[in-house]
Amino acid sequence: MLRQSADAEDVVQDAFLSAWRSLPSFEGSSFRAWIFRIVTNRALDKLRARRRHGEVPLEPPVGDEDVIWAEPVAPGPELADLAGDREALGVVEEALATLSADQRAALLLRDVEGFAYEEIAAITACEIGTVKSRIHRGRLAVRNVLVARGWKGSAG
Amino acid sequence: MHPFVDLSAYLDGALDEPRRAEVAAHLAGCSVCPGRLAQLRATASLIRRLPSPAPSRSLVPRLAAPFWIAPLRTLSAVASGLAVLAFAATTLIASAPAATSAGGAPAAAPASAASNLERTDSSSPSSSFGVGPAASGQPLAPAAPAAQPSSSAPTSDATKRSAQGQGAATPTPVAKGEATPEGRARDAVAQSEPIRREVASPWLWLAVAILFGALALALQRRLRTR
Repeated sequence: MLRQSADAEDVVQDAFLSAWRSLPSFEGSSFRAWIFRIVTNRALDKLRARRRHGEVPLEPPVGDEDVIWAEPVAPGPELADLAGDREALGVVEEALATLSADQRAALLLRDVEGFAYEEIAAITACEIGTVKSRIHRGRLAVRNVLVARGWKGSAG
Repeated sequence: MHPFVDLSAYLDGALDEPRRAEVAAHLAGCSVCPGRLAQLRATASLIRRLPSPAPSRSLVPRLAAPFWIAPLRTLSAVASGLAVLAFAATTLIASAPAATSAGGAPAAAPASAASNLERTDSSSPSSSFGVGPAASGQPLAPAAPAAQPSSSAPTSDATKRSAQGQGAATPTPVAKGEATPEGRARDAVAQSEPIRREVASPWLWLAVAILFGALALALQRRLRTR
């Protein structure tokens, strides 16, 4: 999410401390979602702070990516070839880095952590429609980067 | 109209039922959408398989440690010190009646016996005194006079125990110097007998002392490496 392990560790530790302090105020069904809410907010704060200090460029403009479905120009390696490859995962990392922080957070909460859309909406404090849109745009952007590298990915 | 926008939500099972049925019906008859759905599914599976970095340091215990480790360390040190005192007291009480019943002749028997025992115990838990010096110094005063009447060699015991209580690692020379002139030949016979009778309770105290001493040391180490 932050692409810097030292920052990530700081954020997690900070979030744990904050979680510990606000433990009495915890109410809800999922402790895991609650912790992720705190950690995610801290991470997004961190990214905003970084941007204020000019460490990272402004986020790429979020336009109508959902209508852009780039098609492979030339036959690339099959998914089976690429998926087992370290390189494919590297491409995915790169692609994730180009997403907006909100999209990346929603996508990682979904695909890595396996939260449901409702839970992600609660964690990131936004509408479920927003979650849906962020996940779709984020995933599509990653798919487009992969396709641009010659990945067909139809073997799914 | 292709339901491209809903493909991710469809994949994640996040569409409400009527919409899900619509998309499913479309997928069955579409030549484009199933391929794109498969691409999204493959993308999601790649993201899921990203290596998750392990933190280079523990992120939790730093928070939890200070709250309870320091007091527990101190308590363990105090408990260890008290157990050592209890050990010394029970040893004296156990050996003193035997000495008097034997005719008062082997006055050195309890003293040398106690010094034997204390030599063994002062070597192992003495380190716990270094951890909690306040623990050993304080309770000495009430303990010493209580033990005196039953002890047949009060002066040597008192010096030994005070030497031990101060955390000195060498109480043995004092004890030996007092014990030997009383008569080495006699106590060789009477030495081992009285201790073996009541051996359970003093050694129990010694075990407790060692346990608490080890716990105090471990906690101290934990505090220091924090």
